[in-house]
Amino acid sequence: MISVEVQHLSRRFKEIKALKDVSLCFEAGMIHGLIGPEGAGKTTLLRTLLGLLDCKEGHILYQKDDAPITLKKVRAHIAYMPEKQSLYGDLSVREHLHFFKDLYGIPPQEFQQRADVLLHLTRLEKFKDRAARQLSGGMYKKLGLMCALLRAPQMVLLDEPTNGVDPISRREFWAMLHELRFEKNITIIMATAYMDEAERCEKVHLLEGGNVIDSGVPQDLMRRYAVDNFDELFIKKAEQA
Amino acid sequence: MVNQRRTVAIFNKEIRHILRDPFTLIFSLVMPVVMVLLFGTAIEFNVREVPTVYVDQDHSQTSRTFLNTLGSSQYFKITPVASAHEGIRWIERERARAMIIIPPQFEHFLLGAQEGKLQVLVDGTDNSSGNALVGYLGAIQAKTLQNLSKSDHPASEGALKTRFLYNPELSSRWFTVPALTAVVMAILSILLTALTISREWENGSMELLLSTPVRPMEVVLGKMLPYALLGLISVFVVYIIARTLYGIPFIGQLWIFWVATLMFLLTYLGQGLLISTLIRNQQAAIQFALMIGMMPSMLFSGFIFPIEHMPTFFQGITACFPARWYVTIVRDQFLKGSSALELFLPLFMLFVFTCMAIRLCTKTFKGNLES
Amino acid sequence: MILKGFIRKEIIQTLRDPHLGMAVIIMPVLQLLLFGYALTNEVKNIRLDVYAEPRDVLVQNIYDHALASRWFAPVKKHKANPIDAIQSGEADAVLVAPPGGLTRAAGRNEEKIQLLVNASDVLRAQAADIYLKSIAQSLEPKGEKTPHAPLSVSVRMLYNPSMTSSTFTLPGIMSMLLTFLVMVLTCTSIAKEKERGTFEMIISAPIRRTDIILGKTIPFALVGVWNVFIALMASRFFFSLPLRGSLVAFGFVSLCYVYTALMAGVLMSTFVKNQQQSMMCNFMILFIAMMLSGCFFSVDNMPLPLRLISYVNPLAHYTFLVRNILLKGGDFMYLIQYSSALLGVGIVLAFFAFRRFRISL
Repeated sequence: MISVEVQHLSRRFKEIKALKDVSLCFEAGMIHGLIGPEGAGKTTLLRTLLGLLDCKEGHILYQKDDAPITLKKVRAHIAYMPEKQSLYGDLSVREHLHFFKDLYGIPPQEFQQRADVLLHLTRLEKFKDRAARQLSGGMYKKLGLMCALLRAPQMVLLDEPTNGVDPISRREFWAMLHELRFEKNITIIMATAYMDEAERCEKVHLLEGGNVIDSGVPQDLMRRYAVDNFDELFIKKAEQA
Repeated sequence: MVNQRRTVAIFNKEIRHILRDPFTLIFSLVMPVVMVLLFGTAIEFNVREVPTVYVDQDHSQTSRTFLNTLGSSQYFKITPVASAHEGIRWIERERARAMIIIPPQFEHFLLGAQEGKLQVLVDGTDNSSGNALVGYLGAIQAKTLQNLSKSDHPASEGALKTRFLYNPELSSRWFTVPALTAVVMAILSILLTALTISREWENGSMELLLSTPVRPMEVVLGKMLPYALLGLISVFVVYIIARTLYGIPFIGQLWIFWVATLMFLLTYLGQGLLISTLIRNQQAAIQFALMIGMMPSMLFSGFIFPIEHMPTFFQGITACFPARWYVTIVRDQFLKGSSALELFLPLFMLFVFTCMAIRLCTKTFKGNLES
Repeated sequence: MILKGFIRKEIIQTLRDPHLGMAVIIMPVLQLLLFGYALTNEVKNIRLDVYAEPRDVLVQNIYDHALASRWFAPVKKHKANPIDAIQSGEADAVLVAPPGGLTRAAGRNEEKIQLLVNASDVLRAQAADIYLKSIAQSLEPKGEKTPHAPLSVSVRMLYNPSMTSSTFTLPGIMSMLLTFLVMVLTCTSIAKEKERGTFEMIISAPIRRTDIILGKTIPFALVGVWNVFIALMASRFFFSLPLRGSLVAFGFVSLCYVYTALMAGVLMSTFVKNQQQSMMCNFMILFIAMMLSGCFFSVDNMPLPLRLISYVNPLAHYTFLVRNILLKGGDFMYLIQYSSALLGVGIVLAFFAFRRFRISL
């Protein structure tokens, strides 16, 4: 059970301010959605949460089972799936799993068990020996997710995991996430530009231009802004500006 | 500090990358052979059959004797031209490297116990060949006098008798091919590793790799060792060719050779990785690899241009290139066979460079995405 | 218009990356300076020692003369015996007088001074041999053995009277650096687009093959021309390398060469899939071209088959031409002959490059 609290986090890349004084709370055991248009600062926030970018201005506080924990220690329990294609094109599905097994230091029996479950879950069993570059877009994403989940994390950071994936695969993907959430009590933070996905999250954080506009349960937020979906909300915002 | 399992995981992954890319594999096995064959046959420091033109304005017995001596030597290939003016044009068009002018009344002066003066014009654009030519002319001069005198007792060939130690026939191959292992490996290791890390940056796989518990040292070692293996195979090929095809002796101890080779390999692999960790753009990494890695390892190692000939300041600079020390060891072990104690300095320097390279790599290898 | 946009993109991409920009704009000149100063084949510092007991006049004379010339230097530590001196690396060459002294041995007309040379470095061994022999010859007692007055040879070094090494090496370095830039950059920049998948995007745009090739080559041609210019200035300023021929001729052959190298780059890029392959291919070709070009080793000494290769090697043509123009003033017939050969190779390369360069995957 990992929860994260972000306090007054700012980040700039030369002239561009990617995050402006962001304060957020990611409660444990929930599916959090980071929702916002392109350039809202979602990827920067995720990378900073994982320590891939230094936290220079502001604070990030991690808690594991209600006790404070340092980033260095908590990293062993966080899995990450970057947005960009980030697998090795010439390695097969099986070889990817073995590679990450060794990097994470998973014992062999445990690995076998987990790999079987994951392969079943992602329906990649038939494609075990296919090279990553020969996988379709959706399968490629699933392989990425598998590599991330292999270590049995307590928190998962997903950066636009369903980008470019067909509707059926997306539904399967969501089914997987819910299973993880309810069976293993994993905290999930996902960034997405698909507003319809936002409604499936338990809590959403609306980002725009490096600012947090609002946080809350999706239905509450929609009611508050008097819109039917999040697309409308952002269009309304853009029109106001 | 180093987790063996993670290191092996990276090692295996890199081996797979190599095996799945036949281009790289073939390149790293074929390149050394091509290099050795080319270097072995193309470079010849012993100048011979230099195209030379002459103007004989004397047409005497003596001038003919001189020209015969000149033509029958293996150093010069002579062609007559009508005038000095034409001779210059030959040199300008790169058809001749030197012109010899025998002035009128050459014989008359020479036999009259006065000085017989020959004029020689040498193309100085290639100064080392030019110098050699002048040297050969000296020998011809003495030989001509001997032929002219037709005396009973053979004229003195000079008071000096030279014995060339370690390479009695002054074979250029014996000189270039052993040192070639240095160049082959320097180039191979830099070419192979210069892109391994920058490629992961460009492809985005580094982001995923960094989210795992892997440590810089493990990445560096895991990426270095497979290529070290490949490098050792290449050196072995070079060694076999040198010994069998070119018949170059190996007088020293094999263990010194291989220990030095391994250290040198690691140093250069480290250099390649360093370029790769510092420069995330592959194209820039390539330019740097070629310019920083290849040129100095060929030109600053003493491989072709002797270090002792460089200005003192630059001699000091060459000490910063591991290739220089390695070339010293290899050449010595092939031809001279010194003991490890006599080679203490070069071996020690290589050791220092190896440690430094690995340390620098792990130090510059960033554990996060900050640039 | 399309072409203009394309060229702008390439230039921006090249210069925006600080490392690549540096590699393209400053590095070549730095290298030229470094190698120009450091690489000399002027022989010097040959450490010489003498073993003669009792010290003989002639041997001592040879030794003194040798040290007086700028080629030899005394050893730091005198070893017990001559072989040791060389084995330990203390001396490069050792003069050993015959036992009992030379004068007496010479009286018997049988003994000679022995010169031991460390021949593991062939170049230095050759030099030591030639120089010491000529010194010994000039010092030999001239007696009734030489019936004629000496045959004297007056030598004049043309084009490079002071025998400066940089005069020979600089044109070679210049042409090599130019190839590094132009050919490698072109080839890798196309390979990069292929690797990243942006090539698909470019070829899906309504653009002709010629436009792509021109767009990919013109920026690097500019880079090349800039570097030729800078290199020439630097060589003149720092090394006072002469420019005896016309600047126009130099510019013309340089353009011919840049064109040929660009086409070689484009042709090579059609064979490779990614940047690593491009680098290896480039290196291989560059290396062979360099070896057989006369940049550093005279082509004259090579066996015939290899010399024949150098006749179709554009790098060799360019090196010959540059050397001829800079040092010899550029003979007109020679220029015509070699630049047409250079252009010929360029046209053949261009033909194949255009044929193989497909606007499809």
